[in-house]
Amino acid sequence: MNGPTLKVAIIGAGVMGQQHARSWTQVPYATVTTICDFNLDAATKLATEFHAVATASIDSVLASDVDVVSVCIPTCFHTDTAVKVLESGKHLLLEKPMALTVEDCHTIEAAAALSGKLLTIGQVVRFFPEYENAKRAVDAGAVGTPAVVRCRRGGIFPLWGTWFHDVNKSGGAIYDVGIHEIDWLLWLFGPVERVYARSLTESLGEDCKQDFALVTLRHKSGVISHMEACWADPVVSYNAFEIAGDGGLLTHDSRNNATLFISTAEKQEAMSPLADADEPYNKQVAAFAKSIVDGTPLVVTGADGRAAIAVAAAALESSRTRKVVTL
Amino acid sequence: MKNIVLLSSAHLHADAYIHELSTVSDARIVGVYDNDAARAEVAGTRYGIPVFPALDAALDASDAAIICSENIHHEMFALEAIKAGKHVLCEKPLATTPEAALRMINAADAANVLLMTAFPCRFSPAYQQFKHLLNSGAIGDIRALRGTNQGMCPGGWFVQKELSGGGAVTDHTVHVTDLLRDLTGSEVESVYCELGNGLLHGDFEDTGVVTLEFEKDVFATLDASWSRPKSFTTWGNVTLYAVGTKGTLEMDMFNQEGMLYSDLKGKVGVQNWGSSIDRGMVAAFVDSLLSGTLHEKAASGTDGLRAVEVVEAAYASTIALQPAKVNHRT
Repeated sequence: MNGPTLKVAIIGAGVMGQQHARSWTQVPYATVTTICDFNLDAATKLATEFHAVATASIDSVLASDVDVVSVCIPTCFHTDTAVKVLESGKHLLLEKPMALTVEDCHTIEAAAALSGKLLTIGQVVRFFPEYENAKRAVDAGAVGTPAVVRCRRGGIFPLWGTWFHDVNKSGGAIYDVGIHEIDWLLWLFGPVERVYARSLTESLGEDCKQDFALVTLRHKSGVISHMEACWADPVVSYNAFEIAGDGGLLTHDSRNNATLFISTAEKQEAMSPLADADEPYNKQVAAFAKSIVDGTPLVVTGADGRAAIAVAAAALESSRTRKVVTL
Repeated sequence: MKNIVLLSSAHLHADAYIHELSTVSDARIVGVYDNDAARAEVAGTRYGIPVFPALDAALDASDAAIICSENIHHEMFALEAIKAGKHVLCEKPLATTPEAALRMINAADAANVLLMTAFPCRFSPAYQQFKHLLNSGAIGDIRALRGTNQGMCPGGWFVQKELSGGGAVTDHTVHVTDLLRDLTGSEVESVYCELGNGLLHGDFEDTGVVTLEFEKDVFATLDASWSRPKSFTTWGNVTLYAVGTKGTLEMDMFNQEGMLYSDLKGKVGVQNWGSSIDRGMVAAFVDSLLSGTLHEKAASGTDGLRAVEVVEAAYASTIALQPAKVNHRT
């Protein structure tokens, strides 16, 4: 392709950083040039895979000529890093959840507005084909007018991270897992009027790496949504939803979607592969690259990220106070 | 041999109870009485049993009664049967108000007869195994639960509040509430409910999502919605999911089924091959009649009352828009 080449830096070489790096290499006009992680070994390992430069210094990324940065670091560090990236004049793909507070989201959005650079949030569920299809189907009236919705995500506690069990760093399962459902529910059924939630977040910590949240949302449209965020299963993770309306019912359960199943003495595993171009993380990065290069509207804006955080914050507050929270 | 009379066949569960009763030795159905004479005739023909023209005569001919009337008439039928010294198995919800349920319980106690609430889910083999696994510590200590009892809207008197007492929340909160009480060994302390009428747009609620807080440190949600459309493959479901300190446990009570894709009916439907939960419950009722004490798995009148109190609190929370304390009667 003749045209601009996007130089990409990844900040955070953990599980999500690796995913972003792989997805950026799928964009024909983008090159991953820099991998940054305070753990230089982790940065170097990933940089070697992508023939990029490794660094432990965020400042060196800010001072470099990269065009776009994927930020994949613990949620508690999102705001400071996001503001710096935007102030240094780079486009930003910020992993979800956007931040731990609505105020922080406003700060990040203001930095984007001031810099004139694009900001998107990694609400990747909008790019999952089954969730995208539900949006299309509901908008087309496939279930009539929606009335009651159930959705569920998660299972295994993210033991690959060292910070998820600290609610002040991750926000717990509602922020880290439930945020996907919240964004999707807002996308399909509009703003939320009130929230009631119960969760195990209060006992989450070093000694209790388990969280589970049951959240009831009442949308302004009248739709009732029930969502479940799970970090409580030692083995099985899955996602599911159902949308009941006055014209029908749409259901999804990832456990029923296998197109492959392997069974050996060592393991049993179901698989459901997609073409590269249809992989959600690839689609997310491709859509952002397109917005940068030719001005296509963002699929997920900072305001979208903030709206999801507002609901997550209300859910956590409701869970703490045992009171209904009106937004 | 115990003689059992059916008092009204307004509730569709009468079909299953009559059928299962025919498979139980030591008991027989002696006939049907209904406050709706035309409905009594239909039931008499349908089940091949005598029709009693009067309630007195029906009760005189029997040792016990199964009440399958509209919810609002449960109390009247139960009090009449108890007054005549007959044992009672009453369809759920036990009554439309906790006060009515309490009057039924007190009358049964005073007359020294058995009052059993029809909560057949307790007799499901899947539920029994679920309970056994929880109690044996298979997933550690229980921390949270989630349940559903979603169904198709049954229509008819179920959607007439003056006969049913309420819509989906009245109809479908009580089964799962009863299972959750049975599993936790704890009473519900407070309830929050979101409900609406967005599916059928009637003057009754057809959706209901209920959050329960137990006296023991456990919380749960249950979905009582009539959210299975007419085109759905089956009537509905009863599911449970438990989060314990060591893992999770999931139950889909009626998932022992195959699919039937019928060109004849132009419909996709399920063919359930699981054990009948109604058979277990009816057998336990007859067992109770023979022994003179309620079967260990059976739900008592008080169990029925506790579920009705939760329904009451669910509705109260929708007015206050905050969780409502459950008012436990004694």
